[in-house]
Amino acid sequence: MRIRSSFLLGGVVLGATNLFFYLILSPILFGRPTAIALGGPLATTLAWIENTFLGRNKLFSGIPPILWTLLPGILLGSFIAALISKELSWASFKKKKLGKPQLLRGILGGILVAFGVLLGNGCLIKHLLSGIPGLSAESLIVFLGIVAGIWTTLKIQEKIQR
Amino acid sequence: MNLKFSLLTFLLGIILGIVLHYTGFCVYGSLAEWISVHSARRLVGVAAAMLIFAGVHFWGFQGNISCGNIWKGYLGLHSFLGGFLQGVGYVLITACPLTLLVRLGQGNKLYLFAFGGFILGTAFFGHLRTPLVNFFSPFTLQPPAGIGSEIVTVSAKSVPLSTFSIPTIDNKTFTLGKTVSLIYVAPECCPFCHPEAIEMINRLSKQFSKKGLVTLGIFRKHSLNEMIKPFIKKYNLSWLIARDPEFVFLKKLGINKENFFVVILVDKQGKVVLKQEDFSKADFVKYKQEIEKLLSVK
Repeated sequence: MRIRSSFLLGGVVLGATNLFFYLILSPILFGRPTAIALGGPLATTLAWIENTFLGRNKLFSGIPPILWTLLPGILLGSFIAALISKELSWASFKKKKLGKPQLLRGILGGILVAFGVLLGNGCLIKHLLSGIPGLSAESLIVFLGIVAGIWTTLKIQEKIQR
Repeated sequence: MNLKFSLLTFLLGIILGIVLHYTGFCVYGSLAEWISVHSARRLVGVAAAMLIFAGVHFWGFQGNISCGNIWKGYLGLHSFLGGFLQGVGYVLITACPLTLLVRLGQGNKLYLFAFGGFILGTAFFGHLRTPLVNFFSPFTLQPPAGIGSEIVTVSAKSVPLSTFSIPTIDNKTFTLGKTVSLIYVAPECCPFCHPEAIEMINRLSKQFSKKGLVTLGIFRKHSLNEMIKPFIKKYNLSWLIARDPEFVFLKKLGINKENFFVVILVDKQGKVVLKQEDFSKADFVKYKQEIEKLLSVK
């Protein structure tokens, strides 16, 4: 089951979660109001893991509380929903053989996303859904960069596919 | 960590994951559809999320969500380039970090590799941090402090010393100017984000405390039990610790909400001798020399 064309519902739930998190939950969990951010906390934690075990990545230290609360919840929620709606991909794991180009594309994409998130001080969720409504000039610039990046890559893809 | 609210946040995450799965809502997907086929039908969800969050202004919020990282929220070429690179990455993995999590939860194999790439990207960035900051410094509206950062000397002589007092969390009072003081002002959002600097400040504190150096850590709106006490425990600090959520004391030292973490050295007359954001190894040597000089003055 998928509630088709219910992007409005998705946006309303995401916006309401963000507002609730900012006003009620994060002041208790973080000690200050914090909007939902995903890429940054994920990268921070990975840097912390590397620094703890290999002692090399001096980027940040510590696991943001959002990482052991909201993020695992999203993973579990989508897992449960996929399981109930019989859309879980693991079942067809062996059948869905991915080619090398797809895997390389995934890895390269992941590298660029992490690098861009750290360079741009946050991901699309933070800058577009919280930063711009929060009147952050930085978020507007980062968002313009994101749009430019998406536009350029889509155009190049189109040309290659023709 | 507040268990009740952690569980509530976890439950909220589950609900969000379920809703995002069933609705197929994706912020990146909405943007890509708008850019590639000029269809704005999915943007309605993005607009709704933005409008709802704009509700923070009704609670007196006054702008800028940005939380300090190495750029401390400064605008610059890195902001646009960071956005551009992640934009390219989003197209390659056809997802933003939120959708990446949802797809991982759905068991999508491709996103395991994207996640692997994310780990590599984080590692690359961590190792390239210093050259990157050096490279982008000329292209920021305000250069990130700490890299060749300036020493700001501010005279505090004109302000009566009696007004420079702050109560500490263990009910003592710290008064500026009675002793040579090293003051660490924690950043607004992430007091744990710069362990090397804390360790260096702590080394100075331990080395010179018997000779008369007093170290004070000032936190802003951080919660005592959730943030400050774990911080003291983590670094095994014997400093005086105070909270100044309203910036009453900090304003007198010239610290505002935009500052990241600041390290200030004050002499026995209450004059600020060194004051700067961030703290590198070079700064450690500089502060150490200055502390030795100040403590030798009878």
